Amino acid sequence: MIAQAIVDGLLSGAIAALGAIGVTFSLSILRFANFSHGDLLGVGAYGALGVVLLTAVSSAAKTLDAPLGPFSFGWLLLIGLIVGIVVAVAIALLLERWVYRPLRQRAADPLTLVFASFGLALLLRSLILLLFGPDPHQYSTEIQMALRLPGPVLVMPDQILVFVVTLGVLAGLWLFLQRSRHGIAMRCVAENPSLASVAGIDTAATVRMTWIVSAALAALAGVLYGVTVQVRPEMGIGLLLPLFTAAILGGVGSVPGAVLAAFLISLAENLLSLVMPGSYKPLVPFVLLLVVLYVRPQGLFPIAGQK
Amino acid sequence: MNLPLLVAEDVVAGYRASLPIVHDASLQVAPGEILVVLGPNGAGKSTLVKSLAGTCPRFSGRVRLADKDVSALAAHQLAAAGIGFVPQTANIFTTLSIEDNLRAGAHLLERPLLRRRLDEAWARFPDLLVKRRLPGHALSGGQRQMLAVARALMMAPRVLMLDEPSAGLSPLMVGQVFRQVRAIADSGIAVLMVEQNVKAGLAIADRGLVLVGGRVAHQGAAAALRGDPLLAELYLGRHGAPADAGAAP
Repeated sequence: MIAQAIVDGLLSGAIAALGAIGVTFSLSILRFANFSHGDLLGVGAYGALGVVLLTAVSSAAKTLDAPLGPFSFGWLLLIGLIVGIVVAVAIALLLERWVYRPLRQRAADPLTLVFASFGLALLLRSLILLLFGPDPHQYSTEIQMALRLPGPVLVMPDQILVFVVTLGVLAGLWLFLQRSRHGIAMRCVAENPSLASVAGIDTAATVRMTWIVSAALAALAGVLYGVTVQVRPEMGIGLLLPLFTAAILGGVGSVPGAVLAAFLISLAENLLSLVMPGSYKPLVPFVLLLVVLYVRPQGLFPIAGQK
Repeated sequence: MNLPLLVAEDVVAGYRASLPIVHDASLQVAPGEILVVLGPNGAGKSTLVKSLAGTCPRFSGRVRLADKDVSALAAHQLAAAGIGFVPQTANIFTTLSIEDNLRAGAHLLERPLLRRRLDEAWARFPDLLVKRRLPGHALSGGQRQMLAVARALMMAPRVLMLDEPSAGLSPLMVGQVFRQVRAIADSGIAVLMVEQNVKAGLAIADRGLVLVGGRVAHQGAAAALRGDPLLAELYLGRHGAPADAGAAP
């Protein structure tokens, strides 16, 4: 039981980590709490669903939807993933161009940006409801055979793939932030935008890059969540608060912190559900957050040298 | 004297258009020359250089770099055009390693050129090479100042502007930093430096400009300003608050 809870916690923590990184970017680089980030997960997930639903009208799509090996999905979902990422990135850039940037240029208070993001979250969710309806969807109804691991632990092939993909993306993101010029620019703007600009960094372009990376990670997290659970219009708001908790718990601006905190929260949720009714699960992130803010307000893994 | 490289004319700058801090300030700096901007506290010295670097609003006036009008350029474009700037405080990225600080300063360069500039920085500041993997926050005040200057040099600027490079440093470190600044100017870079430490600033400068109440009150050769009674009057007399006018490096 405990081994199963740990494995389940790691698997769901990996998806949460992808979303939490976007939240920590918005807190540190964009400098406001972006409450529409959760709904970018929904946009990505539904962007992919739009492609998968083509099977109803296209025989070519149906062929591409044939399951790959032990997994529940086919090439069509991979195409859907790309479409979901493109749609989420495009929407994020449009929101930046039409809403957030004009507000920043008018020296809007960060709280104004937060409320704008609330409104945009509602708008995105309503659009999803309008286009896809309120019912949950699944990318695939194929039956998978669970793998039995020592423990005994049962894991679906999809879950293993999701975990491996997530770890690979996290490693790639780490390299991007450490080695690439855009990654270093993002870290500079997070710490000191004014100094970044005199160092020759175009802060507006870096903000756009931040939206691109955050939205792409959110869309990936949304699709992976859809693969392992299901796709629902309110999935974004359901995931948003644990993602914020992970970003704050990990230390604002700290990518490794957000990742570790996401795993920690997910493990705690799954382990506590062994001894408490499942309905208490949503409480776990907040209790953890309250304890950490009381004991260590800078978060568990703050960036060294950050003011 | 060489032709001026950086020319600012009638600059009006500040944080609110209705309340400018710098009024109609004009200056010029030639390649290989150090122009030190002096003045009592609150005279607008930092605001003037920040406005030239693009980090503080400039409401009117023109700025030219060689024969190019750069008045409308943003801070990052000025850096690309050849104007390096070292702010007085928060002038390094404390969460980045020393090497990444330098890479950040060479954000726009292709990899081979970046590598060459890094090698030049290590040669000029060997102390930084030894500590290149350390985060910026692990450096002492003097080392931070060196790193800030090294970062600004990564784009091989034609003009280097420094806002009070001696602030908060020990006299020993002030001497080291100022020797580097002189060497940088001697390599052909035009240096515009705001300084509170009048004696030390004038000792390495070629010319001085005195700002009082946001206006240029006086300018001339550094050697002449050193013995000018106006300076003592400005710093210790009726124009401004007492300052460290006589501190030696």
